[in-house]
Amino acid sequence: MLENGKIFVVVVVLALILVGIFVYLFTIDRKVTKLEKEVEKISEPEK
Amino acid sequence: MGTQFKYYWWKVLAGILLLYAVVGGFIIKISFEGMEVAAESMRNLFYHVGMWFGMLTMLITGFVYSLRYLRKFDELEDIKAVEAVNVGLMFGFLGIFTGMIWANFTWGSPWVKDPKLNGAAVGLLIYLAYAILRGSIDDTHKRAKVAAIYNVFAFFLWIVLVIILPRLAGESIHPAGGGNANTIMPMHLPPSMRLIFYPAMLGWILLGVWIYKLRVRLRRIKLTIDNK
Repeated sequence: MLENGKIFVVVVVLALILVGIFVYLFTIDRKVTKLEKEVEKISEPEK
Repeated sequence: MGTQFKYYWWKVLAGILLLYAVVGGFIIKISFEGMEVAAESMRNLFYHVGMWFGMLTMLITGFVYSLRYLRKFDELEDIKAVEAVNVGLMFGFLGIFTGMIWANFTWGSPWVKDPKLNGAAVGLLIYLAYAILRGSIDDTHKRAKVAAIYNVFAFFLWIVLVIILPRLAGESIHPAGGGNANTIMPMHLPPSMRLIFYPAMLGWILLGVWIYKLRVRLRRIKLTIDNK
């Protein structure tokens, strides 16, 4: 499995997918943060 | 997400740990005596087992918040409990299905008669029933109260079914069944595998916490909008 070095092709592909997923998660996280701030703004003046 | 590094460093850590687990888990040499039946697929330890660590972490979180709800009757505690169970269920299903794939290639069938497997399946059903129970009660406070009590019981049942009973049965083919010749505990892994295993588990747990937090934050936003 490790002898012909082809496994590294798979490792690189998997690593890229993982990095992609995490970058995506971070953008979702950022969007939620924005939404939280917006909601905070809307709900505060009424108190 | 806090914009300062001190608030989100652990999310970066989750990414680094899982990246390490995927790269390291594929390129290390696997040599494990007595596990020739699994051979190279022993690498699955870093991924399949991670689902169960993730699930257990989420179930503990849900259990704690259900207890807290029963003390203070704060709606947010209920939201945290249900979202923890939701993420736990996601891990549970992934754990079962990855296990079935692995079992199919190792034991020749996706499902074998084994206390660990059956316990895990019934454990999942118990938490699915939690979701159904919630859906069947319209009154918010009543739902939260009933669900919290059920969740406390569900947690103990899950621990008994998945961790204690398979051990008492004593004849589990599953390496995490415990108490027999098939059993592999993490600390008995060769050092090279442990070096991947522990960081991988932490990575999966942190990823679960992250998803859980995202879900809670979205529910919180909805709560603020609804209360307006």
